[in-house]
Amino acid sequence: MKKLLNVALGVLTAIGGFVDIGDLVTNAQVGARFGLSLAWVTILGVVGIIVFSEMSGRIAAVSGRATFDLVRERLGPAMGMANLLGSMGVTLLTYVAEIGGVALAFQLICGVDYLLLFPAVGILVWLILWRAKFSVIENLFGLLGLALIVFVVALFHLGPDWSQLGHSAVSFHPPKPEAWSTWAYYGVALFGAAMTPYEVFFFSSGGVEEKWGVKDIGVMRTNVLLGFPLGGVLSVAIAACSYVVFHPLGASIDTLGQVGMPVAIALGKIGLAIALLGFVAATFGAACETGLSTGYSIAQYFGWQWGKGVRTDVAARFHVVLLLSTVVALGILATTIDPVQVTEASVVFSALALPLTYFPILVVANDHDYMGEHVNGRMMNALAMIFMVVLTVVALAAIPLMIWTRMGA
Amino acid sequence: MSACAPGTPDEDSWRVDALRSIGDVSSAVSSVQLALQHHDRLFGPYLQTVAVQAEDSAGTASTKLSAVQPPEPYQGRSDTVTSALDDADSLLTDARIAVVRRDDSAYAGLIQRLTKTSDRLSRLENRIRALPDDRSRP
Amino acid sequence: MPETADRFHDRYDAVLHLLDRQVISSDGLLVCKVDDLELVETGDGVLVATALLAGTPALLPRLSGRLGAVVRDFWVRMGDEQADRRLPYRIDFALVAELTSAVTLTRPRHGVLARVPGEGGGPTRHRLGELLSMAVEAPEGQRRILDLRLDERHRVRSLVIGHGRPGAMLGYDEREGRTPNQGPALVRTIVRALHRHAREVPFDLVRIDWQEQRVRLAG
Repeated sequence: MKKLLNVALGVLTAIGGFVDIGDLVTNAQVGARFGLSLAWVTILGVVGIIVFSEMSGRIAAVSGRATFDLVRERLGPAMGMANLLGSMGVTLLTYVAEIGGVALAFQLICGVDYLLLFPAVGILVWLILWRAKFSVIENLFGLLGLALIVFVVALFHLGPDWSQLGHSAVSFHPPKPEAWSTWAYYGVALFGAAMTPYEVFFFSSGGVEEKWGVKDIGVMRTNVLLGFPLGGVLSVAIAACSYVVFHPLGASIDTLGQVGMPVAIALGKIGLAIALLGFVAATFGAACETGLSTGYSIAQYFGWQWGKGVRTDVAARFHVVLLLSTVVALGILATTIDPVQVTEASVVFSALALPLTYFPILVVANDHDYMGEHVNGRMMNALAMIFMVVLTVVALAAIPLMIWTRMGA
Repeated sequence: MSACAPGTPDEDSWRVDALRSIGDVSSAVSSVQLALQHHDRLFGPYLQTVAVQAEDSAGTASTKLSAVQPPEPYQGRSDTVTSALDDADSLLTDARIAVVRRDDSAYAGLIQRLTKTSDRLSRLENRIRALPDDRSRP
Repeated sequence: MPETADRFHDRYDAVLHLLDRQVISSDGLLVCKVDDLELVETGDGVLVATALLAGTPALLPRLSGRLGAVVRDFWVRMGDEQADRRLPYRIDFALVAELTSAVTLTRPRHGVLARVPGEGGGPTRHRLGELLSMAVEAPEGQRRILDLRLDERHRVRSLVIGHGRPGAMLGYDEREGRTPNQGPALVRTIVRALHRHAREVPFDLVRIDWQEQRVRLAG
């Protein structure tokens, strides 16, 4: 059990990147409209986030410095501030969406409108961020989030035409009547979601919270190699279930309720109950991840004491930031904006921040002063450079595609 | 999320907006149909939430389309679309009412009507899709 | 935890190794970032770094451009009644234990940050940020200061001048004490190509005019 808990950080980080409220709906939407023709993007995103979170995890383990710390140090205060404003915006918007997402999941359980539930959810999230130990947060939501594996089980029970699924996965073009531009837009959205900056902020800060040292590099790598592929598997499973059930109807997905229906159809009420548990755990976990990341980014830019690993009063400013973020998030939710749409928009904007976030990581991971003998090997550098190119392309394409396809309509 | 301001007949492609609205309403209808068909595999609040949210999203889609002025030649088709969407909206309202009341006996009838509406919207979608566009698009 | 060598008692680069680093107290708590460095001119034409500077009054002047100026004005106006509004916090170098991936101090965090004393006696205190924003008149044309190379007694040995912003070399330049060929190869090639005209100038050839905000190179 102890060994299992060691990878909770990786699993929780992956949950925020692959099955948060936005991804739950987007993956189902992609499945319903495009089948598995974008599964390769998910796989690409998994590899990309593995590469960069391993680097940021290694940096955290060897030097005790978390990622946003490095962003200001390598890019300077002005560029660092630009990055901070951009990432904070995205992370905060995602935090808004996740709190809304938890409320939406509870609405599916109890029928009460999510607009009545979200204030209580927000307060609960903040209380947990304030009081609960970091290990409790990561273990609880990391493990419970694994309930989403029910989608894999459901897929088998739906008895799909596997050759059709296979064809869809290797087709590399949108199924009729979808357009290339919409296909590309969703590809960019999926990739941006898989590699969202707050994942590395959270993972590296979590590593520092867990007081990783050089001897923990192995554990860190296990986290990365288990957590993110699992996230990818869940993403693809949700898309595949949605494809099997909704594609024949020509339906599009925009609510969480639709996402869970294939599980109910395949496995009945028990399966649905597990899926609902998974929805709550995943959205709650993602809320904790993004909430903490707002605090991590600001504190690491200004040099303030941060973290759940120290007493609350010792990291007073950090906790004030968390409180303010929660208040702002609740304020935004009170405008009755749709949480799912918020996160879909924020993912596209986060695609812009990708190069600025990952470049400093790459530079520092090669710096002997920082890393001693633990600098990147050649393979790692080659992989990382390929992804830097991909990231830059995605960053440049994100906004134009969003405008051109009217957000994937 | 389409254009913020209602477009003039010359500027916006009514056809694209109509297709999007028909698609949204059609998805809502299919989702509720699916949910009712499998109502014994869903929890009460879950089914209710699906029905409520489907009714809302269909209503929003219809309202959005009615704000768009069709170009002259399409006025007749626009009326057909609007009436089909209105019928679908009221059917979804009936479904939501039955679900909230937990009126199982009504489900079979609703499923039939939803299937018919689904077909009707599907045919409508194909007819609109086949129309020549009212402006050239990239 | 870090196994990297302590640079503070060795030669180091002010911008690359010290500026914007995290400052950690002896009890392991995070204190602040190195927002700027205090530079003092000793009599015999030597420039010495003497303290770390921190706080909003230290950070804001380093944000360049018009937006930076607007933010600075706003900051000052918001605290017009405070005499020390423009004075940053100061951590004397005597309090620095070592410099690795972060700056570690010799004392606990409680109350470590004290304001720079206001106008008083003593040598004029300058800031590194001030120096970095100055235009350099070199024989080859207008340049900027990219970095300051300091020796183990924190005296400025040489300047690195070139185009672009300070720290833009990102540590890819060739120098003694640095591991050659820092990866990735492509980034190294691009950075070096962008900075192929950067060069090191011994400090005795440098004339700094703090009033005019200009640096001239002799010879």
